[in-house]
Amino acid sequence: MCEEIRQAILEHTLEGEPIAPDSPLGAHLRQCPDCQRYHEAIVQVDTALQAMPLQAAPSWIVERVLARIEPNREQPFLPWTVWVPLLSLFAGLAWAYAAFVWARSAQIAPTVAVWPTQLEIWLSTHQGALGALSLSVVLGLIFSVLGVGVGFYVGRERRATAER
Amino acid sequence: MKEPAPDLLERCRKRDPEAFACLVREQQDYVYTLALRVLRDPEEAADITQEIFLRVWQALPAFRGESRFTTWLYRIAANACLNRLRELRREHGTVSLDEVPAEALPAAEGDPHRETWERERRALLWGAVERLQTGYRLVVTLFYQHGLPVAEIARVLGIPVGTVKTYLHRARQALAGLLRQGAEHV
Repeated sequence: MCEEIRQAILEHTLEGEPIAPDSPLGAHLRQCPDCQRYHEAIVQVDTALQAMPLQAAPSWIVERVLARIEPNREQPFLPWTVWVPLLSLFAGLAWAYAAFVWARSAQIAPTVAVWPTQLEIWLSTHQGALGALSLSVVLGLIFSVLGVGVGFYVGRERRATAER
Repeated sequence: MKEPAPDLLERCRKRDPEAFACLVREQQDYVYTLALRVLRDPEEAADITQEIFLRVWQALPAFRGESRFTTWLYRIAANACLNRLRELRREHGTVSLDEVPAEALPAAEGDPHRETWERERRALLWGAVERLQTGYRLVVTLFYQHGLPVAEIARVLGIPVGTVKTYLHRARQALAGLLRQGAEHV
């Protein structure tokens, strides 16, 4: 008898309905202390479980989800991790070229036309200017390589962060 | 459980990231709580929550509104969490030793002070829920924390309504037994 009553208590309380005192279930509870305690325990369980708050999700979830879906929407023509190294490369090459042109116009560097027949003569007379020219070209090339390297590194870090 | 506004869903279907960010903010605690109950590891739960929302973003254009959005979302979430749990078990061994059937929950430690017992009752109950088998944990969480009716839980998990009720009855019986044992020690 009590086993059936307890099953009925489980069914009844699952829907959140109170047990009417004048129902057969209510009548049994009044005369059976064991079932009464069982009913109270079930109600306590339901109340305690319903009162448990949700766990707060970490705040970074929204940002990371957006970081992975937004490239699909607003992809710039070239991401900055590409155009910054490209710009560095062009700037470096322009610097090197400008240094070369300046040196040639000042007649301190061999022209392409005379290259390499007069190189040895020129080297023997313009060692200081050659040093300045070489420094400009080398600085331009270092500038390019650094720009490409930084762009590549930052791009890789950003991709790794987005994937995490 | 809060069903998102229809216009918000429509904007998400049209690939509006700002609208999707609102949807994620609305739903992330529900998804994270579900993941945490299944995986029982905050880092794993956070990672799978992120993956779940990415899947939702990809699948949203195909969502026709034939079921409630939350039913659809929780189905994706539950499947993703269960799959991840299987992967973790393959990686780290078989079933976790602390998972017990609802009937076999251990007795509560006796507490000498009723006040303390009352204060710790919820923590004790949820601690016991954490130790239930995966199916029970899922059903209990969806019913009590997400507020889903039994029929909706059956749709989310793809199991019969009777099975959901059986899981709930067994879990509640076991937890009530735990409370009664604890109360006898007070």
